[in-house]
Amino acid sequence: MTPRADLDPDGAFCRRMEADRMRIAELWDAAGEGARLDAVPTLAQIERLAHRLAGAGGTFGFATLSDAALAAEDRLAALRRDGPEAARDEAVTAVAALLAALEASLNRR
Amino acid sequence: MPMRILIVDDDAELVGLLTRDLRGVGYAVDTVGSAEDALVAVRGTRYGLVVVDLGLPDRDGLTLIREMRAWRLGTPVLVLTARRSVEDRVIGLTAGADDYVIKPFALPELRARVAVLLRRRSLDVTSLAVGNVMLDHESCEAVVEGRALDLARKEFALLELLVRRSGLTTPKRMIEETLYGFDDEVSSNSVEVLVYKVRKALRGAGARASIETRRGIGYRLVGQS
Repeated sequence: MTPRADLDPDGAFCRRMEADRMRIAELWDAAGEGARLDAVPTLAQIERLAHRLAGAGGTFGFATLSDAALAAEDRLAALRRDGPEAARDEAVTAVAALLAALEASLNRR
Repeated sequence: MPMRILIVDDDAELVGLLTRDLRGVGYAVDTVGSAEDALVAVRGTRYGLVVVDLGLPDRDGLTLIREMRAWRLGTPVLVLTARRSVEDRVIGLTAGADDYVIKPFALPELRARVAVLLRRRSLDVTSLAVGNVMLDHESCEAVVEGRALDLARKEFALLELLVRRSGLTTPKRMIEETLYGFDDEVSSNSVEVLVYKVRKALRGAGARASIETRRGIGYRLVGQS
């Protein structure tokens, strides 16, 4: 699936991607990029945003974004469950990939 | 078969996309963003299909489906979900869903599944012919003596509703509720205009069926031998 203007004629999904990109970066920063042990609620917020992007991205033609969001959702769930020592490295990689996918999707408009 | 669909999802952009797409192929579409609003909507309106996202803000979509089934609401339910596991799908179907679409999805697939669920339901209900007027669901055409009538989508939907209720009076309010969504502009004579056009098409094709007006009540399709 490739992005098509007719799927987002008023640009609402693109504006959401922009807003989500900023919000995820902000929350990830607040969570110490997954290093803070007290950041579980913040991680859950990012996970929720990733979950919604995973569902909507591909439907709007951004398949790579959906894949990256799904991976980030899984890795963030593991980070919340298993803690930074066991799961932080993979979460850092996955969130970075999600932010990059959002950036790339916005550039493909 | 009501051509009216309720979408229950709080993802505004996705709902906008689905609504545009389904309206584009002739369905009346209503949308709500919570399970609570969905319960109000299904209590007050006859839908042909309810599309439910499982991740609703106020309660799980599965709970909503169970509540609908507990009230003996037989409306088909199509679940939208980003949950991919077989276990999740089995739980959903057990709760009373009729089909599943995994997010992300391609719009043609969703459209096809919507059509299948509506068609499956329509086949359960009644015969699709009155007099020499036959409805072809695959092509959404009304046919008289092998010739397709030139009907717009809403006109076809009206004729279909009357065919399904042939011999019965269909109240004007029911027609409005079946053919139009909450956001559709419905003027006081919208139904009359539709009826006029369908009557004209039936007469022009030599149909042995006519729409009678029950003044102050509604309309009835009657076949002639």
